[in-house]
Amino acid sequence: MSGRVIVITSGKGGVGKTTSTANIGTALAKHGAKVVMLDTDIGLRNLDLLMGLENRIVYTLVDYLEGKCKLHQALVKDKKIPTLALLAAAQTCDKTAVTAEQMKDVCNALKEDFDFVLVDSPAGIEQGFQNAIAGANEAIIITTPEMSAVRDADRIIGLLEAKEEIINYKLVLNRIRPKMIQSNDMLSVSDVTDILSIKLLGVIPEDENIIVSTNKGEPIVNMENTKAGNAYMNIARRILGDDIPIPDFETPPPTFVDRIKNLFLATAAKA
Amino acid sequence: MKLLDRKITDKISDMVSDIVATCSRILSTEAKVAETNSYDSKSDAKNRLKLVLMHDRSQLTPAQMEQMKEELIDVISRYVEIDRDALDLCLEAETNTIALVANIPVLRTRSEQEKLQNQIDAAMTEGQSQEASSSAEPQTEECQYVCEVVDETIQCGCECENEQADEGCGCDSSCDCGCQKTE
Repeated sequence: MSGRVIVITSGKGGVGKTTSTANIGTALAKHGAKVVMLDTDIGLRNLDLLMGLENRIVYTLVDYLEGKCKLHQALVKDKKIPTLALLAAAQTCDKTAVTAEQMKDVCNALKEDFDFVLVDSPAGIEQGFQNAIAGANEAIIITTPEMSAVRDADRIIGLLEAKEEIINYKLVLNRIRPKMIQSNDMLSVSDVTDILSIKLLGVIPEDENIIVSTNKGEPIVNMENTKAGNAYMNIARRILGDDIPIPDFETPPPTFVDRIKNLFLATAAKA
Repeated sequence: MKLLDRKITDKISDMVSDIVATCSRILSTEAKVAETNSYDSKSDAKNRLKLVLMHDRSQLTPAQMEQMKEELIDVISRYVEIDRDALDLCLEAETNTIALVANIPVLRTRSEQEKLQNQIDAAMTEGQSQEASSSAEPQTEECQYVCEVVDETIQCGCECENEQADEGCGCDSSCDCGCQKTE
């Protein structure tokens, strides 16, 4: 078996890389795929917290690379989904503890056993980022409709374009507020995709439940009927090849009066 | 009875102040809405982003842009007289490419004679700068020949043969092996 290695990256910090990794990983596993999530933010790991697995980590990526354990010993199984695993980053070392070559080997070893290897990249464009993209064939770029995040995403896209191994990269636009877009106070989805000239994989609306889910250590896709959770589930299905339209957040939803009007028009048409 | 009256008047005055407050709040929010509508912060962000990304992608430093501008001005003003202060040079995005757009107000075209004169001037200044560089170091022409080490002595391919590396062969043009050619 040779799985897909997808790096999740953004350039700017705090736009939702780790949250997206946790949720896309969980969503893919919920759809039946075998998934491993690889945290490469060495020294500042957080993916374990979002998954609620922080108490179960025995060995880390660095332990494996130093030969202290076997690869399967370093994999932490998810609490609920048996086909989902996490390989945590070390918290005590710094980013120079790992080389790009080593990362490539780890990714190649993991993709033998899993359908998807999701690599959570650290912020920035230095060594940590270079390590994260080293073994990847695909990339998901996370950005928010803020100027600084879009600018950094552009820089990342430039760097990914220069890397031949990465054959496919798409954008996830995170934390959009439909009301602000409708009142022209926020860059819209099409604005961002136009500026970056990149294909869109999905749009995640701003959702307070994300904070709740992080507090609980439970990815939001495991919560019933949340805006962000549904959006992540749809992203997973698009990654698996399903054709699911991306909702349009630019036109306001129909008002009550509009709905009644439409109902009348529909019945009139029928008659 | 008087106490009751007081209560009622108090209540009425409270109510009036409430109504005033609500009205003023509604009015102020309306004003705010009008303000946000007239000032569209999104297009501001979009335009600023486009500009900054163009500069990021072009990988030109501001100093290089300025230098390019100066050099363009020099070349163009040989042929036409331009308004240097009103000159505007910027990068613009077409769908997928970056365009360098210059807006150069022309004051008047130069006559044939002026054009010729300016070209001569330009050629002269180039010639002068060449002369200046050559006059600064008159006798240190680089030796064109490649040196080789043969049997612990350095030989360069010039007409002379350098037998001893320390002393040099004595030819005029100097090379790394230290030979100097004399004519």
